[in-house]
Amino acid sequence: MSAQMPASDQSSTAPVFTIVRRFAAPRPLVWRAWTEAGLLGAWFGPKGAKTTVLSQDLRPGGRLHGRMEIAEHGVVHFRFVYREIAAPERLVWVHSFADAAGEVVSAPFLDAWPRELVTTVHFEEAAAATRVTLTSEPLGASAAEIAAFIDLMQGMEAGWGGGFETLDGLLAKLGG
Amino acid sequence: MDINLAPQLDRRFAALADPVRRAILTRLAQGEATVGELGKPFGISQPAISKHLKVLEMAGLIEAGQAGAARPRRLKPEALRETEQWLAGLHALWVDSFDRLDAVLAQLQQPDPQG
Repeated sequence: MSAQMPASDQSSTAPVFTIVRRFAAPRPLVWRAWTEAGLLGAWFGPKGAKTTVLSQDLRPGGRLHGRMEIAEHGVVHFRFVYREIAAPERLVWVHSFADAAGEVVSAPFLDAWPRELVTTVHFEEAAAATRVTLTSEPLGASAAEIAAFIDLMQGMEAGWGGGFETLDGLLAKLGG
Repeated sequence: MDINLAPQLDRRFAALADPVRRAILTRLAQGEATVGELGKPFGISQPAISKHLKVLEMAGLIEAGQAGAARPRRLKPEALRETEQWLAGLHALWVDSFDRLDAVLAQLQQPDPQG
């Protein structure tokens, strides 16, 4: 029988947020959709958002500045500060809400949203398709601290039972 | 890097930086406990435990109950729900985006109508 690793040891290395998706398109095309301003604007944003990329400087340290029209919140701006651009495999940027001038602002309609999220995207070839793995972590909080938070939420759910069904579903998805 | 996080969230993560405080929270996840009960497993003084509890209270992670002089501490579920909310928000953002990206990629791969 193999020894089971404690949950805390597993989650201490896991990123706080992970989402994986397979796209039915070759990797170079998927890469273009993530890095060409015109294409990115056609898909990035919450449901119903109309997104426009205002400026883009696609190189490490360069920025992308965009605006989104969201039905219930009006106009919000966002920015990426690129950290790593390794076509067609890996893209890393620091993701924030911004003002019209491109300066970082707190989330306009959410109290406890991290101001800056380090977002890392891996693009892998999967036959004729592309497997995309996106992770996101708050800048300024160490992985151990974030992992502790996740453990805590799981612990509360186990200890109190019920009331955390949403989280349960969420963690199941995140764990995929 | 205080400026990187919303103030409350930053306090929260800072409170979690200490292993004793993380252990206190793990203990409280199982149910409320008095200061004395919380101090026992760590073998540290009551003033030291009280200091840790103060940090956790300031971060909005725990609260003191009203029951008698012992005022047992317990977790504040609101703090965890906020974290749950931004993780759920992030998930919704990317799922919505990916649904549209599917459509964009399909369109890019359509054969040229001229051809």
